[in-house]
Amino acid sequence: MKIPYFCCIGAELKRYAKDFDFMNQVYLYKVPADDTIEEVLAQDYFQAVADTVLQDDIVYIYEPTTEMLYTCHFNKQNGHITAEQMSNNIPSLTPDKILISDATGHITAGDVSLDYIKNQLLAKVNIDGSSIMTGPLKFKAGSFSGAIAGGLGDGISIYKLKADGSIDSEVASLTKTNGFTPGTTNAQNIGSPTLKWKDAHVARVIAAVLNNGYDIAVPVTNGPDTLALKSEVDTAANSGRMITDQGVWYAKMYSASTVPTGAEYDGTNYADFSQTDGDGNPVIKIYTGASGAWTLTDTITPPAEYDGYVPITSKIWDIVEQTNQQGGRILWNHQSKEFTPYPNIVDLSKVATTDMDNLTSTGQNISNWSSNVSNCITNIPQDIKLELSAGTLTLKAGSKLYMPNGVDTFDVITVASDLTIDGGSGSFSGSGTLYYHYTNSSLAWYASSADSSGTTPPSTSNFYNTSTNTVYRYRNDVQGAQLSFPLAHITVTNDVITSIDQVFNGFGYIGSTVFVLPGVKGLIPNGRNADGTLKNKYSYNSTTVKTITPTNGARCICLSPYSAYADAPLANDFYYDKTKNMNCRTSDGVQREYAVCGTFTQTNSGITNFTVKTVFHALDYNDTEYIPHQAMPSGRGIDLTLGASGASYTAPADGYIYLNKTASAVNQIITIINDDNGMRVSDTSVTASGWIATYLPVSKGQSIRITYTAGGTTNTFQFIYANGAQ
Amino acid sequence: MYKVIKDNKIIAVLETNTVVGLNYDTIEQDTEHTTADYDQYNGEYLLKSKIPAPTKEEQSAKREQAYIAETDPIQTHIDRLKDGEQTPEIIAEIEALRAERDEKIAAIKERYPYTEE
Repeated sequence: MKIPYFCCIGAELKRYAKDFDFMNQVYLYKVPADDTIEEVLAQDYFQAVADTVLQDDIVYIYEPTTEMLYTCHFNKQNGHITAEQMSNNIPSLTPDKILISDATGHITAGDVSLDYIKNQLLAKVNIDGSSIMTGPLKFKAGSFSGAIAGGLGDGISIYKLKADGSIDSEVASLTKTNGFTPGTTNAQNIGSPTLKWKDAHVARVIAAVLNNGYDIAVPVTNGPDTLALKSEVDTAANSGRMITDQGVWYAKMYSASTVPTGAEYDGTNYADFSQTDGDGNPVIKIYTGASGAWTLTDTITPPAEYDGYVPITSKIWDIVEQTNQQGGRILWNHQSKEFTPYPNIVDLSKVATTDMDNLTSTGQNISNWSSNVSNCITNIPQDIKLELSAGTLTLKAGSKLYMPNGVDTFDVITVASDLTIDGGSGSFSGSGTLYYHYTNSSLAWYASSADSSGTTPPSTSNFYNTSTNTVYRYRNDVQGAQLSFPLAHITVTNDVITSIDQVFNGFGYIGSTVFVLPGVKGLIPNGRNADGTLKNKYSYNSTTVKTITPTNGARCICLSPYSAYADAPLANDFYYDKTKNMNCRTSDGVQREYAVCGTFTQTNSGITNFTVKTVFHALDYNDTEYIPHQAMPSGRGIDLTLGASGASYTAPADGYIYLNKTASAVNQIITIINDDNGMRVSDTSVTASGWIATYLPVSKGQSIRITYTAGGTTNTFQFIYANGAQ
Repeated sequence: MYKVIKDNKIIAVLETNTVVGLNYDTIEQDTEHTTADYDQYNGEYLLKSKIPAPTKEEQSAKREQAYIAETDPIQTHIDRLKDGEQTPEIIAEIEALRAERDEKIAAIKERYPYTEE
């Protein structure tokens, strides 16, 4: 049997090859005329064809004498080829013609010229854009067989093939939807330690683990050719391009293991994100370079979240301030422990357009315009309604009172009808505390000096037992009536109630214990929004009464957003940072999520100077009576310690320094000097034993110096608070 | 008692260790002395035994100020009376004023003694 021609597609047989120059790897072969099909098969013509791992039935052999068509099959296991008769009912072929099958394997033309074959092949595989290859492109390199296939989703995929040509696994894909993605997650690299890609230009990189969890050694030279990590921000900074019309912030990052040297060392920072606090929560350790060493200068507890992220202060990065800029921001995500540095221009001069229509004189409904208000009380329920008329005190019907009545139990008493009380009899003058007498459902007042709290009642007292959560009147060690929390402080003059001094709505105290009543709300400062407006956490003191019995010291009354608890930290343990809009711990600057509601002083004899902020309300410039009043001396003062002549003092608030001494001779003098502005006042004795006194207005924090020659006793040395000062 | 220290000087001596407003460096307890053992001298507190005696010039200056304030008015009064008619009553008043003046002078000298005396 003679075999005049056969066609092989996709092989690289060089033997007997007749190359078509229009297409790689497509050849037409002519078998010597005297070869039989058995000889062809035996002579291994198709061995290389098998190596290409082509599809079965790709080669057809026509025997013109019998007009029989044979299909050659590859045995991929042994590389042998067998021929199978397909049909004997096909048109005659001339020696220059060959049969070719269509995609289904059927003979579609019986008389095909070589030009026809050429054109058919061009139509199937031309890659000049005039035709599209629809089938997978399979290939083999050494022991690896693979394929590139399109039409899967909206892109192409690269596959590893099994020995039989079927799909083993997907290596990677490039699709419009998912981009260039690996076939399996977290298993394949881009580049290798020895073969690296040069530059990567990406908009954003999010990595589950950076550098396999090890430190990233980042070159510290801020030259354009040596930056290993370069952000759009850095590019902008180096180029001087403005990211926004407000200007540019940029940040440089230093690794925890690579220590910068030289000029870039001192004053720079790096942040270690790998550490946790005692509770396992992430903290950020900030190190500052100074004098040749890295020193831990700050520990930041990432504050509460905002849209899953929290802003981190500029301490984490070496933020380089550009002209006229106000701040930068880096985002930290608690859950994923990822941070995203990017410039976020905060222009503090901006004031958001806010809806002031909801503003009322009592500060209600301010939550929706609070972007300009922070660190204040927004609501204090006015549950206690008192009136004083002609010495008679009236608690109005509808007033709501709280009576501690066992551990964690507070009875709420609503007064059904007006209750009255007068100054009684007994020649009493002084401060009194008003209570609700639970047994008699009436009012009662007792000398405030008898108010106390703790676990052991004094012999005669109005005593809040912090263990049992009860208030009882004791007299000569005998427990008497059960009382409510104090309602108010009053002044009684010769058995006549002459004034209501302080009503305990929202906040009050008894002895050494402060109580905060339900319904108090406040805005807890929590940074700034992107437009520079104030950001708050809305505090709500839940529905329960909170009590605090702190140790001695000058303290603040604070509300916290979490679990609605109240706290009484020392006043100098934290401060309000106006720029950040945060209350921060003095020792380390870490945010304290407090709304500061008031101040008091805890002493061995109980609470004094109990002052609660009023509910926020806007200041009207036209209120010319109120505004100057804030700078005038109040009735509140603290005794200062007079040092030797020439000693210096620091003003604790806005107010007045007042000194009154007795002279021991004529012409003795006292002088108060404000060293910050040079103002001074003096008084001189004109007699040998008279009083000399003077005062000087001062602002908070100003340095004051006092000189004196007056040799007599010091009668008064006080700081008098201005009305508007805390 | 407690000593309030600033720049290595005792700027206050107190019965308690509570200091308000005054700028200081440290507070030290002194169990050997009382506040009465200290006195001010040149802007600091020193043990009275450590305070140097005033010089004659310093005491003289203080006496002069005291004379101006305390005895000069009496002397002026005496001079005015002596310019008028010397009735027995006036003479008696002058003598009384002189006695008062001399008492004050003695008191001033006692208040500001010269160490040499």
